[in-house]
Amino acid sequence: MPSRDDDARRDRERLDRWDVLRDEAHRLLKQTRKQEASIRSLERALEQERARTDELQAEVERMRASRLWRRARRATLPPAREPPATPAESPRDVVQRWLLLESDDPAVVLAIDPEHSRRADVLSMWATTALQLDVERQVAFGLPPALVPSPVPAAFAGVRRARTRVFYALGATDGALRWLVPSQQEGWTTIVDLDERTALGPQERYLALHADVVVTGSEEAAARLASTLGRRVGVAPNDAVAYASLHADEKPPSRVLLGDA
Amino acid sequence: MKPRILFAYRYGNVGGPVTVLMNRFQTFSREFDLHVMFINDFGAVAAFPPGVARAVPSFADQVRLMRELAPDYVVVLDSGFLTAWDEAGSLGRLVIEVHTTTANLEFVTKLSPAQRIDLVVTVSDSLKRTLVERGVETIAPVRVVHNCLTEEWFGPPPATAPRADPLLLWIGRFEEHKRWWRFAEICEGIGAGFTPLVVGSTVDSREDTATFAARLFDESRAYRALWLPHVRHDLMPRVFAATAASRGALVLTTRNEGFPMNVAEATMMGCPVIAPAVGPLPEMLPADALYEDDDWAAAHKLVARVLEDPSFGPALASRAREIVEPLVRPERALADYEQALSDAL
Repeated sequence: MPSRDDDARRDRERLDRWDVLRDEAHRLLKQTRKQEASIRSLERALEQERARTDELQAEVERMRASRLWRRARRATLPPAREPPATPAESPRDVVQRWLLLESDDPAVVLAIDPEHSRRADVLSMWATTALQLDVERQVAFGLPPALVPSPVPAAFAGVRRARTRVFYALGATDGALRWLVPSQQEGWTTIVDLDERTALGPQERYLALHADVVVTGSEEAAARLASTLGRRVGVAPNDAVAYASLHADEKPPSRVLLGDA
Repeated sequence: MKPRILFAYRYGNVGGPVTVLMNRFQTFSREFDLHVMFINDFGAVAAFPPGVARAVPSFADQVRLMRELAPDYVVVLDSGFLTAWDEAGSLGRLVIEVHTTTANLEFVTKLSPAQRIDLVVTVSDSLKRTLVERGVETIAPVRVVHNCLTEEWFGPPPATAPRADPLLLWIGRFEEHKRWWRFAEICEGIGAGFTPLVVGSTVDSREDTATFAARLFDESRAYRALWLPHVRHDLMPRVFAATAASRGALVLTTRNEGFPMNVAEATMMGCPVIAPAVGPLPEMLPADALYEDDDWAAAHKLVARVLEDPSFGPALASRAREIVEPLVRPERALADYEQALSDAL
């Protein structure tokens, strides 16, 4: 009959054997992974060589065709040149640019879609209001494009030294939907500017219910919107609205809930 | 000298497993020299004290950092990094932490039995059962360490502005498994006399965001919804406290969860939670707070009861706290982690 010592010895042996086998299996797995990586690398190199051969073959064919064509036309034509592609600004660049705004210390930072057709109107409004801002020097623009996932809240928090930070939503753009409320949490004043000719859809309704200030293009549209939304709606652009936007007395529910930043 | 742990996670954005690491940091630092690496940084590196977290986008940088730190434990959260660990010389012990419950959980079935894994840690008993069913225990022992909260969550809730109507809170991304539209259906069924409050999300697609906004802010709705696409983490206690003070509740419509932090946080702020009986939720909430998965009539009934009966919500919150509070204490997470390491290794 096996003794308790025998059992313990067998357990120890089994554990030792398990460790040895597992280490061996792991060593073989690493070797297999390395070989797989070498095979993948060779396959990539082979693919590149094939592509290069195809390109060269195509180039030879093009040169032959071109020679034949030139011979036929007895003319030489300069090769057409593609204009160099403008590199798109990366999300990181946009955020970086935002953070650099601190050093310029602008009076107002407007988060607004740079491509928006009414951007010039808004610029002009901020230049001609009682604030008398020098648009070139004192107003900075930029709404980072939709970033997934995103460092935008950090960018909102980063722009600290501007005297006034305004998130100006021109209609219900995707950027406005995502970033109006997050900007509020970092102390930005939020304004939504609704086009008087556009019907009030669910997205406009959302922005209008959460922004600090709602403005539109005419007295008539403002009265209509105010009755639908149950809140004050100003008319943009004019001095009163610019001031009202900076000293909003009516807090939207998102600010009431989270408190003022 | 304290043992050194290197936590490795793919996505450096605050939320999910990153919040788990942030919550552990203070307590775990007492016993371990903690380091964190992410493949991409979307703000998570800055959430840790300087020098603790790093972004290492390239394979070569990951290998270099592992060699440089020579950790006693390399802890991979969910998937990735195994080849880098091997390339770095398989230094220390390898721990895999499983947090995900989505389709990404498939990675566990692809783990090779030949891969040297010393321990698998997961966050709930239900997730452990799933891992055992998928054969993970034949590769390494599986232990449960619940997610923890920081000390601030154990204090009194912050004061909030009084409200005329209760808030029904829903939190999450507009992902398929979260089923936000079920929450919309519940709200539409109740109709009026409350405010739906949705927190999330800034990272979903343009189409999903537009569909969500169109549904919640349609002019035919009798309620006026609130939508906060992003809330700073330090402001979240206000959201839960305001919901609790308004006699509302957090409503979950999810298909599954690992160990939902929002349930733990809401409970600690006195906010009742209504949830489906899936995943770890029966481990965290009293039976009265649960409805059978896919039984939307029962979900509606429970939510309506919270709104109609002023004593029901606070009673649920109080019983949930008795369950959740001991689970999410940071010192318990540390003790469980140390025990798991010691048992398995």
